[in-house]
This record gives sequence, structure tokens and C-alpha cells, in this order.
Amino acid sequence: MTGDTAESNDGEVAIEGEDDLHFVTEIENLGSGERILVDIEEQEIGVFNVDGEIFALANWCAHQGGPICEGPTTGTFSSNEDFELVYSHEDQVVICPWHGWEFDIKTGDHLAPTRIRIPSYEVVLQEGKIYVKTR
Amino acid sequence: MSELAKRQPSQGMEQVDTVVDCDFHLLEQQSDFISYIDEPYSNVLFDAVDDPKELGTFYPSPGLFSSFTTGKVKQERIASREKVQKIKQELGVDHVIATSSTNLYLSCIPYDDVASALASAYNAWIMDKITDPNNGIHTPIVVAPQNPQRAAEEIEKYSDEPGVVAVSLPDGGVTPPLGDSIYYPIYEAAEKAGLPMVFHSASGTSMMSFPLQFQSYNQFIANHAFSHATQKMAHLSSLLFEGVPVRFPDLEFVLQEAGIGWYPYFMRRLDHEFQAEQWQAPMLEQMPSEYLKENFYLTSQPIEGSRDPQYVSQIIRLFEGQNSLMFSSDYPHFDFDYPDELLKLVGHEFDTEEINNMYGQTAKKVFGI
Repeated sequence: MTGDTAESNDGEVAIEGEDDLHFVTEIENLGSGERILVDIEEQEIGVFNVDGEIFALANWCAHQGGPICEGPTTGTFSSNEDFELVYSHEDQVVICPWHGWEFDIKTGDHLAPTRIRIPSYEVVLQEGKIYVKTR
Repeated sequence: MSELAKRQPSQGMEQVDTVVDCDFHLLEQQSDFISYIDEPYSNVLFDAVDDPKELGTFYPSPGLFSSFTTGKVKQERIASREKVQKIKQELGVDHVIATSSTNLYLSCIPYDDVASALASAYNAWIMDKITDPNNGIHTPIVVAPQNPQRAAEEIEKYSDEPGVVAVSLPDGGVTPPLGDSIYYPIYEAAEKAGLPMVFHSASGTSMMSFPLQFQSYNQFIANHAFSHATQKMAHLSSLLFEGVPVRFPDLEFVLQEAGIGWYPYFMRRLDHEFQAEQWQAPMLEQMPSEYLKENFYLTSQPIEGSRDPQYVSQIIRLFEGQNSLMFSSDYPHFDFDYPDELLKLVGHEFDTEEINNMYGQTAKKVFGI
């Protein structure tokens, strides 16, 4: 499990003519394995850096509304062709602190084949800054 | 576990007048209550009030490998009045029926008298540190089935205590099953005291009830999937066909944490057996399912089929749960239900009065609060 940042930030509109882009933070403030929580239009969103790529998920677990973006990031077990358990996807999985449900940070998909998904938001990187697009 | 406080319940909860959480858990340890143990044990527990030594807890442990034992899901410690109040407010419930976590394994203790002594110690502790009926904290006392006469004495001792609302008998692994006559002193005492019996299992007690199979399951979830409901069916079968509801007609029973789908099945299964061979249980004056509908209650958590509201609603109708189902969270255990979970699943099918029954009105009658 990697360290996490739990700062909050009011996403301000920062790009002229693009009022659905909300500023989160400078890229240099969000290192690999870190995350930041922001409030955008009264929605809490978790913004994650997974190996240099940035992803944004709603902080509302699709199960019972727990704070999914505040759980640890880990890998998970998959099964190899000999049915042995193999640990993989290091730091690509976020675990909901309430019941332990596991979600792929990059897509918001539930790792169990339920077709449940955490809503995700498009991330825009411009001039060293991270923006989340809400529409 | 993260703060519950941020999570707001859905707006539909506004129609619910009073919420009684019928299976809220203390998450306590043996060291919390061991100092309340009576003589002669207090004379020989040299330093058991400290943290348990290696192999030093008196409760058998199944050695579960699961999300909560690996620390993936953190279950917060709840062992004080103040903590219960805090969580109660965050969950948004008005009353909690607070049950033990440690004592879910009480019935597995091989030493009969030690089990009774531990139960008494726990009961003394909750009276001192937890029970608070004026502020919505109600506690069952716990009794050890290993020693029914002492259990009856314990019930009598607390029968007039405000805040004691039930008799909790941890049913996981109990042998013989709960309809056996050896337990009748317990039922007699509870009926006399006007207290319902509450039965709650723990999946790890499969080590006692299904010891041979338990050894063969390689996943926690494989045992957890069948353990709770199976124990309930095993005990209900015994309770009904030994005629316990006839022998103790004023005694009510609450079945906790087994889910719901098995219950309408088992009502009909019991009737199916009885209609063909009623001579085996001739003391029953009506069908087994009628006794269940009259004197037995179910708590809701964990609701299986939670993404299938039609399934949930139909199942509840099939056992007439608008009269007998009672909301429970099971907080802080790893598979707890947040309070609006039940509402999400039944809100479209049941009317406001029925919803209020399930959320608190039935519980107020059953537990006398």
C-alpha cells in the first residue's frame, strides 16, 4: 500500500471558455501512487496518479456509498492457468474501506464480474496542471 | 473503517419515524470484561486482565483468513458507551440492540463452567460500561448453553434490569440443537422474564458444527456462504419439531444475521415434512410456518440479492416480513448494511406503515422499548 494524500481542494474554473474543466493541482504535487480528494460542484472526486497516468473517480462506492477514494491502493490476486493465485496489478486497485470491494482505478470497474462501475471523470493535463472535466 | 459521518442517508429515510438497529455490534475483547469475572475464577486469573498471551484467549478461534483478519477491511473497536453513541449518531439510528462480538464463540468453549463465568462477566461489564436505555442503547444479556441451569439463574438476575431487552444465546455449533429439552430451563426463565431469545451464529463456528467439511474449505467465503443460514435451519428444525413454541407459547425468538431467502423456503419445507408425518411431532396444533409467523422474527442484514430489489421484496412478502423483518446493520462487522440499504430494496413495494414496521415499530414491540 502506498502513501496517500488526503488534502481537499475546491476545484476552481481556470481555463477561459472551458467552464467544465476544473483545476485540481499541479502535476508535480501528485506523485506516482498518490491521490488527492477534491470537491467539484458538490461532488467529491478522487484523483489518482497510477504510474504517471492520472485518473479521476467519484468518491462514492457503487455498493453502499462508502468513501471508495479513501481506501488503500493495492494489487490483487488473479488466477494463472494452473489455478494458482498470483499477485498483480500493483497499485492499480483501490479498496473501499467499508466492505473491501476492489475497483480498477483506471476504469472504475469492479474487479468481480458484476458490471458495477464507479463513475469516472476525464482528466485533462495542460501546462503542468491537472484538470477534471465534469461534462 | 472510515468515518460514517460523511455519508448521508437517502431522502427516502425521511418517511421512517424510528430506526432500531436490531443487530449492532460491540467490538470488544476479552480483556475488556475479564476483570468482572466472579470467584473462584478471579482467584486464579493471575494476570488475565492484561492483553491475552499467546494462545491466551479463552474463546476458541477458527483461524479465519478473510478481509477483516488480514486488515484489508478495518473493523473499528466499539467498547464504551461514548463510542456506541458516536456510531449510533453517525449511522442515524435511534436505538441499538448491542450484541457481543467475542461471545459469538461462547458456545464453542469446552469448559462448561468457564463459559458460564465468562458470560456473567460480560453481562456485568455491559451493565457497567455499555447499557444506556434512556439514550437508546439496549443490550441483551448473553447466556452459555453449556450450563442451562446457570443460564436460567442469570436471566432471573437481570429480568427487571432496564436496558436488558433480550437473552442472547450464541447458536453457532450448539449441540444438541436448540430444541432439546436440556435447554428448557433457559426458555422457561426467558418466557417468565418477558424477554425474547436472540440467536446469532458466527461463520467460524462451522469448526464445531461442520468440523469435517470446515477443514476442506480453502476460502473464507466458501464457508461463510452457507454457515449462517444452515445453523439457523438446523436449530429451527429442532425447535419446531420438539414443540418449543407450544411448550413456551409466550416466548419470542429473534434470528440474526442469516439473510432472508432461506426463510420462506424453510417455512414451506418444515410444513412439507409435517403435513406428511405429523405423528412425529403431534404436540403441534398448527403448521410449523404458523408458529414461525407468530413468534419468530428475522433481522435483515446481510441482505443477499442487493442488486435485485424484486427478489428482495418478493422474498419478504413470502414470509410476511412486513410483520416480522427487523432492520439491522451489523456494524462494525465487515459486511455491515448501511441503514438505507433495506429501504432502497423495499421502498417501491411496501407502504410507509410496512416500512416503519421493518425499521423500528416491530422491534419496539419485540424488545419492549
